[in-house]
Amino acid sequence: MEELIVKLKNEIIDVLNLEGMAPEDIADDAPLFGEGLGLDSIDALELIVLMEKNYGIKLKDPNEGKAIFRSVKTMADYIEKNRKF
Amino acid sequence: MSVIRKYCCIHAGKCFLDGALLFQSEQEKAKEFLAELYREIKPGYPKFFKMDVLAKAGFLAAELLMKGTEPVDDRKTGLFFANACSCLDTDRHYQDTIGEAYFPSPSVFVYTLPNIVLGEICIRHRIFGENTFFVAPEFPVSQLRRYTEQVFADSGLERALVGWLECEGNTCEVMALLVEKQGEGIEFTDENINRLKR
Repeated sequence: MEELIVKLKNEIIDVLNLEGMAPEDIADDAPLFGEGLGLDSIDALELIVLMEKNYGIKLKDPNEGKAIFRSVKTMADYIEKNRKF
Repeated sequence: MSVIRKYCCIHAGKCFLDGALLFQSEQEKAKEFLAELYREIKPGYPKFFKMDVLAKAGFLAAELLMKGTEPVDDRKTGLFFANACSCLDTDRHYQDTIGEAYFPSPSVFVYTLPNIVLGEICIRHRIFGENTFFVAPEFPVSQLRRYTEQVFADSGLERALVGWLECEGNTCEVMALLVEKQGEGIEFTDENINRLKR
């Protein structure tokens, strides 16, 4: 799981152009939206694309998003359980 | 008579403010040069890095022109810009993200209109006045000048950012003016705009 979390942090930094940020700057449990990284709705769409492109996961229920994208850790948990590749 | 209060030119690894060289870099590629310029002037606005090159160029020009200016009513500042290539580079980039696997990027898609740069500037400086982005084969100096004067006369606008924002491939050409309806500065004429272009 630790390896997946680091990989995911690097992917998030890359896809969201988080300039000057390193994986260690993102706490596993820090909120991705609002207070934490301060991501916006377009970033949320990019994360949905990232999950599909890199892990083969299609989010069918939009209501799931809030819980899945709460933090890097919750994303990694969901990916671990649902990844296609 | 309207006046040019400040003006800014950015191109080929150089940035000039009011005719004086403000920043120079060996890096002539637009994207990298604009990132260096951002670090030089330190606006403290991380969203900059999510913008396309056109929006980055306009954002930085506006940042330089608006710095230190007296606040006016948000509704009395306008934006009038033009370029030749619209947002073609970003359109191509978006097409690339679609690819064979079909994963279009939402964050690239949002910049596939040339006037998005104006929205970014409005958000940053809380500008609510009229804004228009023209696409023309070359810098339409006279048209932009007359349009600005007309809006000043008709709408109660008192200040405007006006200019040319052209970004294509690795090149970027910016000439941006802070124009005021009245006050002290360089007379806002076609001759002066052409003279100030670098």
